[in-house]
Amino acid sequence: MLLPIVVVTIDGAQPDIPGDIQAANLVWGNEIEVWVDVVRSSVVDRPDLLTLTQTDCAAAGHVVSDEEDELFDLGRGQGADVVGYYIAADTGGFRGCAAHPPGRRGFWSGDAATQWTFIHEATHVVGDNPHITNSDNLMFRNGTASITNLPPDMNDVQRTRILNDPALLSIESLILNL
Amino acid sequence: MAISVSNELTRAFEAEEAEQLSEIIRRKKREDFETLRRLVLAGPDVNEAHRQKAIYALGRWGDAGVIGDIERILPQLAEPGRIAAIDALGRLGTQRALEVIAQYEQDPSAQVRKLVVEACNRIGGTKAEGRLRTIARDDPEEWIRKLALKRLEGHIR
Repeated sequence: MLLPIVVVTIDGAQPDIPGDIQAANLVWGNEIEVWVDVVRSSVVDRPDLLTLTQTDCAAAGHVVSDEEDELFDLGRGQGADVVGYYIAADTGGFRGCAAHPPGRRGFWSGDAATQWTFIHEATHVVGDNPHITNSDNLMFRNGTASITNLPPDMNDVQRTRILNDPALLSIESLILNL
Repeated sequence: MAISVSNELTRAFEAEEAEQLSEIIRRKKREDFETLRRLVLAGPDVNEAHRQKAIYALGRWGDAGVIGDIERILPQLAEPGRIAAIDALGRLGTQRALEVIAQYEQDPSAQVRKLVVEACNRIGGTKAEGRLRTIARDDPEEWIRKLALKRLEGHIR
């Protein structure tokens, strides 16, 4: 299975995209044989979105800020349901956030991110997986910098939720459509 | 002297996202507020990322009594801290906050100046609109001038 994803970098952000995709595939590939496939990557000159102002990063009842509304418009209609955004930071200096406007699935990752932030945030979006207390797990609530026994693990519930997500494509369906 | 910070607050500072800190803000426990305030004013040995998050939290707490604390520490902050501080002052929203924000209209960081625009926009009123007019005319970056003009137009409509 593949997760097609569009990646948008706000010019001035300092991501390590190959490193993030490698880390993503190390976790998801090993755990559930799902591979993250970047179908399009672009750099966008929007300095007004480099430091993002958010109202909150709530999993439920998220209030979408004007800037989030603009950010999450980028990269749509380019062959993926999920878009990952690289920005410098939010105003609090957090590593990422997976709260998104309704109907525009995606997440952002900031310059303070670890190599696991990208796939941690993607795992919130794909399968709608919450934080948990197991420190060996990708979704450990204390942050990816505190995960123990790397690479991070996933549990059965998380695996099932991701595999049931409509954003995934089977490799067979891609071959048949060639 | 080291500041005693609860495990819960430390976890929220180290978390990937802002959600856990938002939960602490929603609960509004007095001891958390006092710890956040001490972190803002702590000496140079404090973790600057934690100080930034403490400022972020106090901006959303809604107690304008911290404006003086933020004003005092602002000149010592690096860019990420100044961004959090200007954003926090904009959310606290008093005329005193606006006076402090206006002192950063010519900050060397364009990202800080962007937050000045957003803070003035959030505060609103005649004085804030005056600041937006000045930025729309004088800022060296075209994108900031345009942003200030856009926000100003939102007030005039």
